Amino acid sequence: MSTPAENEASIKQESGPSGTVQDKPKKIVVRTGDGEVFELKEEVAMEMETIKTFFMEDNISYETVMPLTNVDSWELVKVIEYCSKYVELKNKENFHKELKAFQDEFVKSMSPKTLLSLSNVANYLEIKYFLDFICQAIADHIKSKDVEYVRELFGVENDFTEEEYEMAKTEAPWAHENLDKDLY
Amino acid sequence: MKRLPVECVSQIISLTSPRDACRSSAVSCLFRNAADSDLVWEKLIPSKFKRIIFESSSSSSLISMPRKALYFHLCTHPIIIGDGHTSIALDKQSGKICYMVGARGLVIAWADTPAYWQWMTLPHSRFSEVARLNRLWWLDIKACISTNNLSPGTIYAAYLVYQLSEIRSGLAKTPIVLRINYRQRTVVRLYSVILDPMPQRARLRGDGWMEIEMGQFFNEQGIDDDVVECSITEVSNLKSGLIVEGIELRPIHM
Repeated sequence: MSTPAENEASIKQESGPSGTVQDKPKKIVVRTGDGEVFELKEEVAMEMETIKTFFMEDNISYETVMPLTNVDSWELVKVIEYCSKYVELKNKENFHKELKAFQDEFVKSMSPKTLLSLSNVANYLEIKYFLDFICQAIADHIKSKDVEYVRELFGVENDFTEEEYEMAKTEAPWAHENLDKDLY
Repeated sequence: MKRLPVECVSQIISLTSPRDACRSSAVSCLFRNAADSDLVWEKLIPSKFKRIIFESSSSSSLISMPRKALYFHLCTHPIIIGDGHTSIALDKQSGKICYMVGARGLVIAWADTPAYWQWMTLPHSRFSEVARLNRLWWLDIKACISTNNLSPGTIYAAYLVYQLSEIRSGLAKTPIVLRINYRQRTVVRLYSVILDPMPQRARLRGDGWMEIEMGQFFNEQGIDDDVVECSITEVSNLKSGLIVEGIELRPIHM
């Protein structure tokens, strides 16, 4: 999201010879599932394939407010934060190092459930690098955790029959040993 | 909470480990589908390994296997590569590379003198030939293994894979020195052990051979011309009856 000064600068640049402002203010407006409206910088919005396709495919005017019914406002805030940073760092020399530092800070206080919500959003908005990052964070979190923990986290039920579960367990008994005990 | 699509679950599992992926199959039906998918196991087979096997002659049947089945096949069926003197396999729990140099790939002093060393074919060896010590003072065996062949960021142990002939002598008298040398700077480990009778540190492998650990090292990788040298020496005694299959490098489990 930009400052008023930046807004003014971009509008000035777009004035045609006759002094009229063109109808592409380089801002994309979306509405989240919980009804909040967000203005995104075009360069950040275009990092999200879903949004990019929506506008580019049928050449839809940026004046249209795109509905993002599957995204909550707090999730979008986080996504914008990550993508803005990514775009900012993208062409810098120390890209990898600085991105890593940002990534560590970004996930530092996030609960596993938060990470899961964000992975859903990253998948829906089709932001590959963000999805890869969040999935890795979740993967690191579930390593060596037992089956009950993973069910709790992902909100899934044990829908196996007794036999199916036993079979799944005995297929690789060594995978169920030496797990993290210090969980909750 | 919103249900995560199965491809996302697969992606997450593919970033864990073989152990975690196997355990995930027991979480729920959806997780089993996600965890058993090719997407996951394609990722868990090291790309280095894939390149090697797809270049080797046994590749045609392997390429078409479902990736989870292929993974476990590679854990129990070492692939012979190079000149037929080396084999690679996967370590089941970690998915890291196990690398074995057969006797013909080792530098064995006096190996070409039949009075000293006899080359034989044994059915339970993965290699076409193994070396039997006939009668020799100068036991000196070396392997120089490039760490490019191994998985990076892994602690490896080297093992002498051997057995003792029924007819043998001299091995009960003097200790054999097992040494590994990494980066040519420090002697990482040096063990002195009498092989006969079976020492405590030796164990019987699943394939019928014996093995004894020679030492451990941490393979960082990313460094050119990085080698680990393994050696077996004993030169003060007349010996016979040691059969050497090779030297194997395997990741250790904490």
